[in-house]
Amino acid sequence: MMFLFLGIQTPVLMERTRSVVVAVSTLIVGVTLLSGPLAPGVTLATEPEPVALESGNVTVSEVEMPEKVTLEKGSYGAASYYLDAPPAHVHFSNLTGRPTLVYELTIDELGYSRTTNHFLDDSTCDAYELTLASDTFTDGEIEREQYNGTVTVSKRDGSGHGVVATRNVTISVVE
Amino acid sequence: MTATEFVGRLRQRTPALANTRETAYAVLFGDRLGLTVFLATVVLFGLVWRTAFLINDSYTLANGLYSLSNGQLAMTEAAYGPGLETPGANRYGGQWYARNYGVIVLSLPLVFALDLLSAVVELRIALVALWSLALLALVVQCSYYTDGDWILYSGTVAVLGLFGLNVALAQPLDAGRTHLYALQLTHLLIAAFTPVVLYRLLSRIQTRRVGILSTVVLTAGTPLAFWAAVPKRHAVTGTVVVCIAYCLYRSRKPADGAVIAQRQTFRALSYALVGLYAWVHAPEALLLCVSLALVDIPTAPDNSPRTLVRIGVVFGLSLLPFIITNIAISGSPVKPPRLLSGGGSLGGNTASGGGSNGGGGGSGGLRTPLAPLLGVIESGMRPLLLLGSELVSGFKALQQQPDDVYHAFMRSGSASGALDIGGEESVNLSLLESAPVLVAMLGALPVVGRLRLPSSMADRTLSADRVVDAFTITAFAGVVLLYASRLPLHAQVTARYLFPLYPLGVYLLVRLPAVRQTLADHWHMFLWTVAGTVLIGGQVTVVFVALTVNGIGEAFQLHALLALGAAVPLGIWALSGRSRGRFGQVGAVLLSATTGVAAVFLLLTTVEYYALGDAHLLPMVRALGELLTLY
Repeated sequence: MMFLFLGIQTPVLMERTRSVVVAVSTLIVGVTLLSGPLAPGVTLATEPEPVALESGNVTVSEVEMPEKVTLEKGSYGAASYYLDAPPAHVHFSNLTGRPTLVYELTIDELGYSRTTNHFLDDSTCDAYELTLASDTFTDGEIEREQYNGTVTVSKRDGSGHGVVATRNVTISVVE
Repeated sequence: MTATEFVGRLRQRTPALANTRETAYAVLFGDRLGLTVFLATVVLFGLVWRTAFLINDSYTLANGLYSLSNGQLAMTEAAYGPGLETPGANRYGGQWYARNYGVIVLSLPLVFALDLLSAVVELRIALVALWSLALLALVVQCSYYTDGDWILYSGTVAVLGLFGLNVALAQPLDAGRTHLYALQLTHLLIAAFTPVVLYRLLSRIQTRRVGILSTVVLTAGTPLAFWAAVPKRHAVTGTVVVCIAYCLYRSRKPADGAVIAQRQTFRALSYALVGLYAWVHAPEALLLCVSLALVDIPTAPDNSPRTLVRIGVVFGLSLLPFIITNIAISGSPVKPPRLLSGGGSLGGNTASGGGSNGGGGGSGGLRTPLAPLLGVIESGMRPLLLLGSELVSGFKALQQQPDDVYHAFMRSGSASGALDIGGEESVNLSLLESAPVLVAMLGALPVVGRLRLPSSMADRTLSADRVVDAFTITAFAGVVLLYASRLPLHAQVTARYLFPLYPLGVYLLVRLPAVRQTLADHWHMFLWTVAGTVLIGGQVTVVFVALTVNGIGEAFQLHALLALGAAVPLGIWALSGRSRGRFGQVGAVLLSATTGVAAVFLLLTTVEYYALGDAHLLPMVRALGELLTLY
């Protein structure tokens, strides 16, 4: 269909334009043809490589967990509360392979739980910041000024799953 | 036949072929600028195209297309989505049916084309190549407007560079979901004609420059691109209303086109468009039909019975696909698989209509030969009555629920808190927050003050542009009334039910003398400020979102406030109704700021907020979305 558009020109089509158009379109179509089974050896679109997760080994030497988590009223007039959990800081004494660290916040009084997985690899430094993805609550769900919750850091590596640290936190509602 | 003979014959046919090509070109795009608008729009839509489901309703269409491509009208298998019972699906005789059969049938050839393509080449690369060729065509067209070849050569290098970049970043596209891609492509191509036809209309009524500038306002300043590749009726409705307006205009002017030699044909064509659109969405088609007839018949120079019969026959023929589909599915010619999208009172009536089947059965007392005829009339009247009651309840809503109207049209804010949908964030913007440039329609107030009404009934035949104005205003009011009682509503994003108001509104505001004069006088300033708002303002917005926003609801409300902040001064300017000197310059800056703010929202929404699992068609946009983490 594009060739229809390209072909519609003033009666005297400039030769230069034509040659440029023909050359570029041929190149584009040629490359496209290479991507299919007509050229079996060529792969142009590749899936991202799957990685073997929860492998290797991780030993956490030190964890700093947040004390306070807040539920903040949405700014700009948005009708929700945003959960803002500060990150937990961890230090490793040993890290090999691709282990996973899981940061979890549970608020039983709201029947709520949220986890964020962090996939570590060789490029991870000794000190690491575990963040928790933000989340929202509607006006109707938040009835009190304060809630009690638990934050947990756990690990998943070649030797299995296990809790690294856990602590109780206070979730305060900020209007 | 030898090769030389073949070439000889081909040569003989070339002029005829060239003629056909010229005709197709003139019919579709009008002139070179129309083609350029089309290509630019397609390129933009390709940039923001995400090959995923934005909204549940699209599952119904995809499954309907899947079944139809396998030769079955009823939906047999849920190839997409959680099951067959998705929003908009309807059950008749124990089987599930889809809706919007018009676009489903239109998408059918594309399914086969895409399946064929995916057998020969990698689908992602093929679509990237098509996008690159469209960009190349755009470059070639643009090079005709400049002296020297620099646009051609630098543009070509850019096309090759972008193609290479996209191929380098490409990941395979799932070739098993061609029904979705076909539907998206159909909607995208139809949507690309909204600005094209708007340009053709306004370049005839006003000037070509005003026509082109209005397409910038439409594509950048309204959510057109957001809905272009979404398999929903919205983009189609937008194109249909603009096409009706165009046909109406041509029906009042001497025919000068390539194919149609009589202006009466255009008049019939405007009704035929309504009839064909009924195949996509019957209630809105009915509304458009009423608006069209209300404006067209009282103002037409010729209403002789012969003319009206001719129009009626064409309209009847255009309804045939709709009627045949209805009979095949529900057994009644006027009962579409789905009568009104919003459920509510009309949904109930559809269900009860299924019981009495065909209207005639209900009035069983009349056992005269006239009974079948009465039945047809009654079943034909019922949709009209339904429409009437909807419009009345919309009118009541405007009076009795000012809060809802305020949230739907002006400021959304915490409105979604009242929607009672658990966990939903404030992502449903109002009409004005979605397209702040529409506030310039306030400029109508100073104009109305100076308007002189026709002195007597003898003046009832309006000029062509006044007819189009009247139709646009009627359709605008009709759409507002039709949906006023339902809004605000969840899953609207940019007040999508009101989508036809975007093209209609842009037409109306460009028709205002102050806006038109401002655009014509300061078009340079307008375009540069749009570019500046998008490029610089866009980056500032990204920083703002990254620093202050925690989630999509806040992000949307930030954009909403930016839009309203730009809309307020524009509204004041429009009320002044002046376009001379300094006023004109200020107006151009305000018009472009409102346009640019909406464009920034569009880009960030498609790249980041609604990335739909980074499903962007173009690998480079996907990579950008992955790089950009704002909250």
